[in-house]
Amino acid sequence: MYKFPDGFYADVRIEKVFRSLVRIETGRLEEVKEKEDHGAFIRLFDGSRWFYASTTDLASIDLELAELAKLGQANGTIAEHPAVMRMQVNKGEYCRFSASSVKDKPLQEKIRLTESFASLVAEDKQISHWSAIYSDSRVIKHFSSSLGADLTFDTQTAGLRLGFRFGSGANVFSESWCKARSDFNELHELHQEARDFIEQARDFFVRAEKIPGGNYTVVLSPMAAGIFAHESFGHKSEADFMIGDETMKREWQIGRRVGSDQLSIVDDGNIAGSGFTPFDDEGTRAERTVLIDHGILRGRLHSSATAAELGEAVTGNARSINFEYEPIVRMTATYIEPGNCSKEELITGISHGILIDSVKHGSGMSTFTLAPSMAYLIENGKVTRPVKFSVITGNVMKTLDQIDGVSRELEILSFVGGGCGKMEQYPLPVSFGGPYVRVREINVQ
Amino acid sequence: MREQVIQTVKQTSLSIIQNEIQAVRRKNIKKTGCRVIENGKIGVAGGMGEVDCEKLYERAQQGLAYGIDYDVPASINFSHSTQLASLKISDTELCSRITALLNNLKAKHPEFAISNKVNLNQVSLRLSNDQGLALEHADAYLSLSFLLKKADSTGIMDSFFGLVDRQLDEKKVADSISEIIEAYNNLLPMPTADLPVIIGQGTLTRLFQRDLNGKIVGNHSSLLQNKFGQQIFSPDFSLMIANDPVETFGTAFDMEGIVTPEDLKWLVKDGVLLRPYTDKKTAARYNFANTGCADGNYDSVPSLGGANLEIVHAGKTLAELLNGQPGLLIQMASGGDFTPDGNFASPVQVAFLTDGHKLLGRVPEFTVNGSIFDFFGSDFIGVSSDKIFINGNERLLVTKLAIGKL
Repeated sequence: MYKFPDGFYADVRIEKVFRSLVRIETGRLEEVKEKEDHGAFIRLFDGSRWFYASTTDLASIDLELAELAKLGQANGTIAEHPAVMRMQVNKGEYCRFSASSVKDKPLQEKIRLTESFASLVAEDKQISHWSAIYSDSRVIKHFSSSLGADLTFDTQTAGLRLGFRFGSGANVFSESWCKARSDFNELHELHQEARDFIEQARDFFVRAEKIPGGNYTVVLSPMAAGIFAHESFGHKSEADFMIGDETMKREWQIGRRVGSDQLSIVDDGNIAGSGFTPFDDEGTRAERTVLIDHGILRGRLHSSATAAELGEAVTGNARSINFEYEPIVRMTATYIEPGNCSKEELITGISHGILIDSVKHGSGMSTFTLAPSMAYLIENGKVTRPVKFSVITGNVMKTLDQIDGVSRELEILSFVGGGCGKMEQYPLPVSFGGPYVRVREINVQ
Repeated sequence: MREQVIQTVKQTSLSIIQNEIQAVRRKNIKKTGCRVIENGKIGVAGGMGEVDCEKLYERAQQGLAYGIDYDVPASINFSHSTQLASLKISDTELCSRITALLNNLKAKHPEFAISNKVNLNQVSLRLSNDQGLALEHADAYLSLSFLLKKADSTGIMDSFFGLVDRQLDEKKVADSISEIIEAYNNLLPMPTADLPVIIGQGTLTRLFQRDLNGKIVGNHSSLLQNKFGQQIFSPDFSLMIANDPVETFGTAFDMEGIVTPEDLKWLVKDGVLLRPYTDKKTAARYNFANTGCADGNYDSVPSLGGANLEIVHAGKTLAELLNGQPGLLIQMASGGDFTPDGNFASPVQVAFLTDGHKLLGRVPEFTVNGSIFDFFGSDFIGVSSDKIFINGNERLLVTKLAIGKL
C-alpha cells in the first residue's frame, strides 16, 4: 500500500497496457508492432485544488505523493468534502479478459487475419488505394485510494479498419469499414459484412449524383444517429461545463423538456465494446445513465467533483485517455433508445427525403453538422438512388425536437483507430449507436 | 544499422475553470524507440521510462522476420541541432502569473468566464544512428487554450483564444482576449456586400493533405492527378512544406532524419502544381523526390503521414490585403468538409467583422462554400504577413467564399 499523506484525499491509478498493430497498405505489409507499457497517474486533493503527477517509474509513487502534498495545504476535514464523500471505495478483481487476452494471440495470427481482410480489396481493379489495419489493446488498471479503494479491472478491444478509395482524378470516392469486438475470435466472422459494405460503396461510387441543397426529411442510420447523439447531446451532458455556471444550471435542469417525446438517450459503460468502462478512473462503478427519457432531461454524466458541485450522484464517467492524463467527464457507450416502428415504416411516410447511411465525421455545439459518406434519396416512400452532398446541419435543440420517428432496431457500434476528443485528450475509446431515426426539416448543404 | 529515437516531454499543466486554477498536473515522460534496418527490411521496438536499449534492439531485430520492406538510402553522417528551450518559468511563478492574468480578465470582463488549459512544455526529440546521424531538437513553450463563455449563454463555449509562444506576455494575451470579448458583445447585422473571408489556412489546405499525399498520387487516386506541371491556382498562390522550428514549434527534420531541401519544399509555386509530399519509401516506390515528410510515433516504422503545409505570404499585412474594405474573420467553423471533387462547405459558428487592424464586431452564424480551384484560384487574395492572435499565432488566409444563411 502507498504512503498516502495525511490531510489529503489521494489516489493512484496504475495502467498496464498491451497493444499490437498490423498495417498493410496497397498490398505491402508496412508495420507490425507489439508493445507493453506501464505507468501511473497520481492525484491529491486538499479540498480546494487538485494536484496530479504522471510517471512511468512505479517505484517513485510514494515520492510523487509526498511531492504533491508539498504543493497543497493539509486539510483536517478533507473526508467531509462533498467530492471526497462521493468517492466509491470499491475493492476486488474484475478482470473479464484474462482468459481471452489479445496478448496471448500470436502476432502471426493477427497478420493472417489482416491479410484475409486485405484480400477483399487487394485485387479490385476499381480500388486505387487501400489499407487494412488490425489493432488491439488490453488495459489492466489497478486503482487504490486513501479511502481504502483497492480495485483491479480490465478492458479489451480488437478491431479492423479497411480504408479504400475508388476511382481517380476528380472522380474518386473514399470509404472505410471499421468494426471492433472484445473477443479477437469474433473478428473472423465479419468478412461477409465487410464484403457487402465494399459492394455498397462501389455502387455508391458508380451511381451517386449530386443533389441540390435545401430542407429535407432525413432518416439517420444507427451510425449516423449514434454520432448525432454523441456529438449533439452527449457532450452537453458532460457536467463539467456546468461548474460554477448558474445559467447552465438553470438551462439544464433535470425534468426540462429538451426533445421530442420519441427521443430517449442513454450512456452506459457496462455495454461490451469500445466504450466498455466497468469502473471509471476514480474507481466508480459504471452506471446506466438515462440522459433523456421521452424528451425529458433525466440525467447527466459526472465525475466526483461535478457530482458534488451539482449535488448529484456519481455516474462512472470520469475517464482519461491514458495514465498521462487526469480523468475528466467523458461518455462511454452512448445511444438513442429504440422505438416501436420498423425502418421501412419510417421511410414509407416520406415523399422526398434522404437516408444517411454512413458518416465521415460529425460535430455539435449550438449547431450540429454531420458529413455523410453514403446517403440515398427517398422518393415517395422508397429509397431510390445514392446521392452526394457535403453536410447536413442545424440547430441542435431544434433538431432534437424535430425527431418524429424511431425504429425498433438497435445497433451499438465499436471502433478501433480513433475515438472521442475533448480538449487535449484524444482519442478516448467510446461506442455509440441507436436505431433508425427520422428527423424533419434538416438543412442539406 | 541501428537507429534510436528518444522523445521527452516535461510538462506542467494548469486546468482552469471559471477563471480559477482548479488543478496542477506535472508530467515527465521519456519514450525510446529502437530500429534495426538490415537487408532492405526494418524492425522496430519501443518502451517508456528507463529502458534497456539492448533489449529493445533485440526485439527490433526479431521484428525483421516480419519482412517489412525498408529498402531506402540510410541517413548517414549528418548532424543538426535546434535549441529553443530558453523559456524558464517555475511552476510557482506560472501559477502566480496565470492567476493574476485570469483575475485581471475577470475584473475587466465579469460577464465572461475563462476555462480550459495552460501548458508549459519542455520537449525534446533525438534521432540518431550508428552511421553518423545525430539530430536533436529541444524546445520550451507555453500553450494557452482558453474557452470563453458568456455568463448568460447556454452554449458550452461562445468563443476561443489560443496561443503558442516562447514567452508569457500577459499584456498581449489580455489585450487579444479583450478584443475578442468586446467584438463578441457587439453583434452586427450580416453585411450585404460581398466581403472577403479571412480564415485559418489549415481549414482550406487540408484537401492537400489528402490529395498531395505521395501514396495517393502514386496510386493515381488524387483529385490533382493529372495537373502536375500546370498552373491550376492563382499566380500569387504558393504552398510549401513548413519545417522551421521557430515558426512551427516542431522539428526541422522528419522521422527518417531528413531536413527538406530548400528546392523541394515547394509543392505549389506561383500557382503551378509541382510535386506531392513524400517520405523515403514513397519517393522510391513511385519515383518522386523525397520531400522529408516521414511521420510516426517514437516506436513506429517511419511512414508518410501528413505534412506541415503553409501558404507563402507575399509581404502584405491583413489590412493591406483587405485594401480598405472590411472582411469576415472566421473564428469557429466546426463540421465542414470537402467533397471528392474539391468543393468545401461548412457552417460558421463564430465570425467577426474586421478592418485588418481590429475586430469591429460579431456577425450572425452563416455558411460558406466554394471550390478549391476558385478560393486558391481567381478568388485568392493572399496570406497576411502579420500574425493575428485569435486562434493561435498564425498568418491568416484571405479569399472569397460564397456565403449563405444557416
